[in-house]
Amino acid sequence: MNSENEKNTPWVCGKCNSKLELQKVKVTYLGGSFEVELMKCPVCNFVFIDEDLALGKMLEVEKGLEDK
Amino acid sequence: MNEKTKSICPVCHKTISALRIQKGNKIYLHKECDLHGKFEALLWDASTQGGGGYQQNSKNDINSEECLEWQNWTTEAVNTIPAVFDTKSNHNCPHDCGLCESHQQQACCVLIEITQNCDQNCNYCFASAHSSKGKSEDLSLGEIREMYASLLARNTGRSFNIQLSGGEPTMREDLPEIIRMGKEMGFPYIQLNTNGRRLATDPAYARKLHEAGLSSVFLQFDGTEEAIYENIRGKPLLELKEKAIENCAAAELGTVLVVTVVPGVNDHNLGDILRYGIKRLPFVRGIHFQPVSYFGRFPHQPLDTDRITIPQLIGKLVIQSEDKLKTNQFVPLQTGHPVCSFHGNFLIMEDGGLISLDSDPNKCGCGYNEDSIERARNYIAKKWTYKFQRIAEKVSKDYDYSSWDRLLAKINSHGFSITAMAFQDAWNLDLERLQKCRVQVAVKGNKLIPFCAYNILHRPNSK
Repeated sequence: MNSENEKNTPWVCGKCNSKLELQKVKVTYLGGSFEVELMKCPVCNFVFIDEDLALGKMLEVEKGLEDK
Repeated sequence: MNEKTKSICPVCHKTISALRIQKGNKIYLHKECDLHGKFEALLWDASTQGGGGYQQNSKNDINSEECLEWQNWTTEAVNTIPAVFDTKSNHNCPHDCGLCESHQQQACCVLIEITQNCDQNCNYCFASAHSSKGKSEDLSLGEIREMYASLLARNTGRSFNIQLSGGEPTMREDLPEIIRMGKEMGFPYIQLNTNGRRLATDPAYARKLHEAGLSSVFLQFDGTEEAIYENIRGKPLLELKEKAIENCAAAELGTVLVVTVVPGVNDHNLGDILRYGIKRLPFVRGIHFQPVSYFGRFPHQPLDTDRITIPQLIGKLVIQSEDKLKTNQFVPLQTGHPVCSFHGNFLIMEDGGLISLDSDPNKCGCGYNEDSIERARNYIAKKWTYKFQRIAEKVSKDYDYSSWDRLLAKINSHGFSITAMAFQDAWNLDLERLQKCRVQVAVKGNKLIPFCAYNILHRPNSK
């Protein structure tokens, strides 16, 4: 994830028109903070989670944390 | 509070009426036998003096302590009626066993005692096992196969978790074969209840059991001080336990440390046991506490100080965790009876902090339905099995989300469970609890008997 190229995503922030970048983001869930990579607007810090991730890895993590 | 229930006379074992009586923050069982007189047994001690109530030096807020009060703890569990009953109820519980129509709960875990022989001679033993070989006849492989088949035929859904127990099961040379047979026949989770002696002395043995399909090792582990072993087991064993854990880890076999908690012997050591287990993640998957119970012909009625009840255990654990744990992070299991057990699940963070993974106890039960016992079986299996998880290099077609995979792997490897099971003896036996028992013993004749009833009344050498 080091090169500039790898950080690029095809998504553009609707508000700032800036290209979203994959960046480390701190997420908090059930009292724990975890650092993960998400698409983020470098200008307004808007974070975008696409459907693949929301219904895939993110859901798996959620289930793991909730113990269901 | 003055609630009616039933129990047995601890002397003649006749079924008699009993009362649960509240004295302050304590609950007692009162009963009287026509022939043998009155008996009183402590069931629950949420008082400060007992170690279970609000502690002045604790940072826990008072609201979280209230969940340990009997009325708040004893919410209704979700029970799943057994699909098969073994006998007719003659309204003489617990003498009617196997399972009869009075029983309201399917088993989560079924124990099979594959031997009565043991290579230890403990002061505390459910099984009153023999210390020398060859005294009793063990189940044959054919009999175990028949038992497995009968258990699989009992319900159509996710089959029972199996605990191979004894005696000391590793005394049987065909143990790998017994495990392999169970896995091949369809049991997803098989755990081994062991003192760890053979695992410690034979490094190749853990690998052999793992290859046979063993899911997890339920390792008798009484503390981190040799004096504790000398008291409970009659000899120092800490080094042996360490070696057993090490050998299991080398074989990628998860262990659960099973602690018999005896007041005045190891109830000061709970925090150290916790830290010891956490240090050995991910191979030590959790700690399982079993407050001492008095099976057999105990010479006198156990005193309050001979017992450690669930709120006392949680209270001591919280204090000794140096306030890393909180009382409201522990809840009763969703199935069975709430007074029999508790569990708390945590994620251990890099800074040593613990995050509680269980939701608000008030929410417990929501979303649970008739398959709750199947959930419980899966839940235990997931918690107590070590699974090596490879980090995928790329998990999305567009982006590299390996940080999510690393987080997932962390949840699996650094999830840590703290659980307890409080067994009943002839003194404190409450038949309401017994009839909701979810730990059952498979016996010859393909019957199931609730664990406590088995140990008090139905074990071949209990009479």
